Amino acid sequence: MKTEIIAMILAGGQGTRLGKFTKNIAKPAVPFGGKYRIIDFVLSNCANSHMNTVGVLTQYQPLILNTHIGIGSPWDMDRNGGGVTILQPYASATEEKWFRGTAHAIYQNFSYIEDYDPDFILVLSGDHIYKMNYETMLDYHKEKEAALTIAVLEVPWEEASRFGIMNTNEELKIEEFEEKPQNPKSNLASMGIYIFNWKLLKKYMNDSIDEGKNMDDFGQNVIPAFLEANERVYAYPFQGYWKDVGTLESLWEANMDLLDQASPLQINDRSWKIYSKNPSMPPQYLSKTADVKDSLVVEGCIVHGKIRKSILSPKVIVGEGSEIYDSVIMEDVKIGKNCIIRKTMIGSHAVIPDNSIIDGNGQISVVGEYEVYEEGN
Amino acid sequence: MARNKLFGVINLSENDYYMNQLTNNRPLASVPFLGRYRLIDFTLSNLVNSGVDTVGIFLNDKYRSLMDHIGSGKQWNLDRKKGGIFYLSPYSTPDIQSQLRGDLSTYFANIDYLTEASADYAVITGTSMVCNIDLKEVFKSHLDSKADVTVVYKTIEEYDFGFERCNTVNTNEYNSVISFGKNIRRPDMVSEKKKISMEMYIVKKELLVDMITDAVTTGENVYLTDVLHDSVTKYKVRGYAYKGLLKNVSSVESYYASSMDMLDEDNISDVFFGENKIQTKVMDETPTYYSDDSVVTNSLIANGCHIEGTVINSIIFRRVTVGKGAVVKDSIIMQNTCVHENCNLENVITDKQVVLTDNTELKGNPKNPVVVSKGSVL
Repeated sequence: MKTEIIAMILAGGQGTRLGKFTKNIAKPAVPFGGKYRIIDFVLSNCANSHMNTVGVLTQYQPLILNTHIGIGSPWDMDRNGGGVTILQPYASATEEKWFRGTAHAIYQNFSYIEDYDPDFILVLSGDHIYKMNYETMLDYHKEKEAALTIAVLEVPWEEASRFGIMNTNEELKIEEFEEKPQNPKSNLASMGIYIFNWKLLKKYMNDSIDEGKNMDDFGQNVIPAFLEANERVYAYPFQGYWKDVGTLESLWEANMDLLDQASPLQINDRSWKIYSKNPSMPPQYLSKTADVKDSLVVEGCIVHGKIRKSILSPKVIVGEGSEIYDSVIMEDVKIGKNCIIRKTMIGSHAVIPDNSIIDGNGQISVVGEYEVYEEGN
Repeated sequence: MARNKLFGVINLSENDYYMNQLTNNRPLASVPFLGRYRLIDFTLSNLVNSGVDTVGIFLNDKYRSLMDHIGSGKQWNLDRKKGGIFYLSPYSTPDIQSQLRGDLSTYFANIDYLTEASADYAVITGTSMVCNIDLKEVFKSHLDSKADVTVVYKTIEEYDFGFERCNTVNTNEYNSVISFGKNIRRPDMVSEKKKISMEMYIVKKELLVDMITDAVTTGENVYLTDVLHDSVTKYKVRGYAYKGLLKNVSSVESYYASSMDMLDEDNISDVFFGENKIQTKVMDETPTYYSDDSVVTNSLIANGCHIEGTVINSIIFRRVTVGKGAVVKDSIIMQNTCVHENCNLENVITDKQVVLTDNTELKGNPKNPVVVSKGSVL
């Protein structure tokens, strides 16, 4: 079956820097913004950009992630031909095909891609928060007659040394790629979003691997190989909100960004909806004693306390006299009476007993999934 | 063939005369309720939660909004190869011209749905009685009592005026139903406890088919409800007393009162947080945003709202905007309504897609709330 472009979402990362939140959950499945999981953004981008054939490569703790994606119905990807396919490592007759890196994960699933005989493949990360029209990027790729197009974002110069930096000419043709350079020559950072001409990518990877070269990683191996061979590699400048939520700080910040009504992310833009699995919950109930300001609350919550600058996920219960500031409360968390919670992220199904005080004095506090909070823990 | 199984018959010929504008372009079944539901969500969820996997909806007119809401029935797991949702519409057959009056001809025209259902017992239900009921229990009682027909009723207290004009069930000391009546309030009548019919019946498939065919033959009745009521003269009809929370929606007044009664944590837990979930069509709305200026107490609020004003004792549906300085009190604001700055609403029901421009003031009475029709701009 012929398909012009296939999206491959890399969702196997462990995300160790998210600590307790990724103990049992792959990073892309970490809850976000009250009712989403991180991967909803990239899947919704695919749905809204008419990328209807999507492979999701999962590896680390895939249960919740796989259950969340299911047959893709929240993103209208439960369709005949194409749709969403979860691609997991498997044992073959000759070897166990664990994914050793980003490019290796794609390589292990060449047979999936071949089935659709695409012209292009779009490689995406499952752990970024942003809205982007991939169709526009594909148009750009075709217009430039590129072999590879890499989406780039202008980052502040002082942070450029933390990213993979693209040095381009005036036409945005990439001449050099530097991974975390000490003295960056440019501030165009790779967003980990690539469009490849499929036939070329296949050729490069097969040839190099035949020659025994390492082709495990896009940044380390594949992009340098394309540049070395003088292929047409272009940067696609992206403007707008983009956040890699790889650390607890950035996850907290990205959540807080949602409270900013002027944020360029605009999740309530109805022309670019973010889709997710929707639980069946009654409307949120704010009781007679509730006092909620500058916050996001979703269906199924019952609030008796005071909430400021916080995000409450489905089925969160906040008891009378409790106060919550600058916090992210995930699904089904029970917060007792007279608690004070500041700058805290509380994992799903956790329990905070009456009179608890969680306050990291400006530092982010974390309560893990299913944890029953005890003071001094 | 599966033994002793139930299949669903949803009867939409319900009196919506007193619903005024709220049913101008929708059946009672798809009247929006409690922030994100339609009345039929409770009916469908009760059926599905009780193991029913085949549901026939006997449509009358105005069913566009209902079809749009239910679609393939996916949300209730009713998008099945075997069973699932059946929409059964009125039509004329060579033998019987569809009558303008009554719903019996619809049942007769679609009698194949009943005869060919792969279950033995029909559970017939309307949508005006809102509850979370375990029909498995009713079914068990029906089988144990060896009744021909079981009707579900709820005993209401003397002071409960929420069930005006509903049908009542009169039973003898053995809990056999001897007659059906109407709950009409009369000045000279002493108030008393009453058994209100919940318009839910369980009856064996063959018997139901016989009753419908007989009624068409004799022409005695043109409504299915009347056929079931008259069955007391020929068959063994028993009552099943439902003990849980029951709300009735059959007039603007009862719609308003039933909604307001749900602003109570115990009632919310009763209906929504038990084992059996109430499902509805999901919409991918964003979380609701409460601004720095918002003041919200004792209210049910759906997703996708943007609240900058004051909301007290109210029910706010999905994607409603309440502007700065606006006060919404004791009101029901349906989906997609914009309440602009400094509006002042009390005892108001706004239907979907209403726009209230700056400084609009509307004040009703709990007994007679102001209803703003769908799509109005004030």
